[in-house]
Amino acid sequence: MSSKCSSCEHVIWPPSNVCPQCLSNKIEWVDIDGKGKLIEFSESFLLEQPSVFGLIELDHKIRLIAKIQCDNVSQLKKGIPVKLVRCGMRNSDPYYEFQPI
Amino acid sequence: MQRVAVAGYGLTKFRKNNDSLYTLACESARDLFQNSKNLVQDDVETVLVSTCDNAQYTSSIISEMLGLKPKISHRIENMCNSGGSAIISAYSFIASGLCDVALVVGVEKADSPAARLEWDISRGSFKHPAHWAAMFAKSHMNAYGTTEEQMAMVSVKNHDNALMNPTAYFQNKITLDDVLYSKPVVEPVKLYDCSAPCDGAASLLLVSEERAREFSDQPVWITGIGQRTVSASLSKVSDLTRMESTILAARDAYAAAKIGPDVVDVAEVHDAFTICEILSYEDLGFVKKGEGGMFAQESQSRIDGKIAVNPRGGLIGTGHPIGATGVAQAVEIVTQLRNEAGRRQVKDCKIGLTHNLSAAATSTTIITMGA
Repeated sequence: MSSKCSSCEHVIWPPSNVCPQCLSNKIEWVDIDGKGKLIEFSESFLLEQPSVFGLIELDHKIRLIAKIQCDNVSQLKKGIPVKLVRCGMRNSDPYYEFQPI
Repeated sequence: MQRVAVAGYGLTKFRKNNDSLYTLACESARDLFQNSKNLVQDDVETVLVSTCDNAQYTSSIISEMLGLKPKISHRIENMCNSGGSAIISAYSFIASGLCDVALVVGVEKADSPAARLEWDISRGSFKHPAHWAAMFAKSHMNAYGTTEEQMAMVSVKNHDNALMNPTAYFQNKITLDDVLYSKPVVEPVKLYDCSAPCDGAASLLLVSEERAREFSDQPVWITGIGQRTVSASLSKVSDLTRMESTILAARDAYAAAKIGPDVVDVAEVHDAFTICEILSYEDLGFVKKGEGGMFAQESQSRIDGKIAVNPRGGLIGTGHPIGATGVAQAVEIVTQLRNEAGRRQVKDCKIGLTHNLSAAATSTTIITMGA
């Protein structure tokens, strides 16, 4: 889910109480389709275990960095379609996980 | 508008120990007072402190500790480009005629809260800046054939330069292999491709044209300033092969100074990661898009190269005390333009610039100086 402006219909990401397009404060929650495109990806050695992650673009130009489920980073290519499989909070950070479609 | 010059500077050794934020700040300001001509405490009308520390009322505390009672005094925070931001603010107070003499103090402890942009939920669990740096690097490598070796050469150069800078945190010679075989952090970024936090402080004295000669025989003129913010969150970065805010801020600074990148002799750029320096060669206009890697490979950015980039060692060589970095960059350019850089001296340098950015280059501040 993210924010959507009731006045101008702009979808707001990250979620907010004010619309960056028209400055309205009439904001509602809206469901976001979990299907997107893999913009860039790599492997991180900074978390508890090595994690493949990527920058993903969803509808409405929503972009976020998420963990990517795959057996091997060599399976991934820029531009492939991906879908959200899990999101929530982990260690007080938001957590998103996608997999290639 | 009054012209504005830098008339003095101070710098601490960048280090990691138990010295407080205030000890560091005052150490750099004392250094400035000791190396300045005629400067007395009553001369200082503005004190701007650049820091991302959580402490409150830092500019008043530092003013009190230094025996200053400034007209204008407050803190400026803009994450990693706090320093550049504080300088352009001080510049504006003088240019507008509100004061003649301004002290800018940039200071940070190694464990700064600005090490991670906590607000940006679009980064998910991948908040460490090395993640965006890795994606910029991969994109640039895919688009232009930039190599890990070219990135590594930036780190080698900046460590070499730091060896000639006694205030730098790092004082070790490294080889290309040291970088290439260093611990992978986020593929392709390795440990030696990254800058490291540390403690440090840097101070700068800005003065109006009217009073410049009172305080310096060699005032260094600030000829242009430029700043641009495109967003805070990574979600708004549309092109991972360029630093949009840098391109736009540079355009403004060059226009204000009535110069182009072709006349820049020396630059201190924001090498938070080696890829950032390679991008800066392109986005500051030193080379065409995509040619940054080659510029590094052909040693064109060394002290004796076409444009000396990061002669003090940059962030990678000197360390990155966040609020101090932008000010320390300016200290180096002033040092170079005054011919006081000793072993690091760039020959015949007349025009220099500082390039200071934050958070995946969502904002950049640029200052041009000299001639």
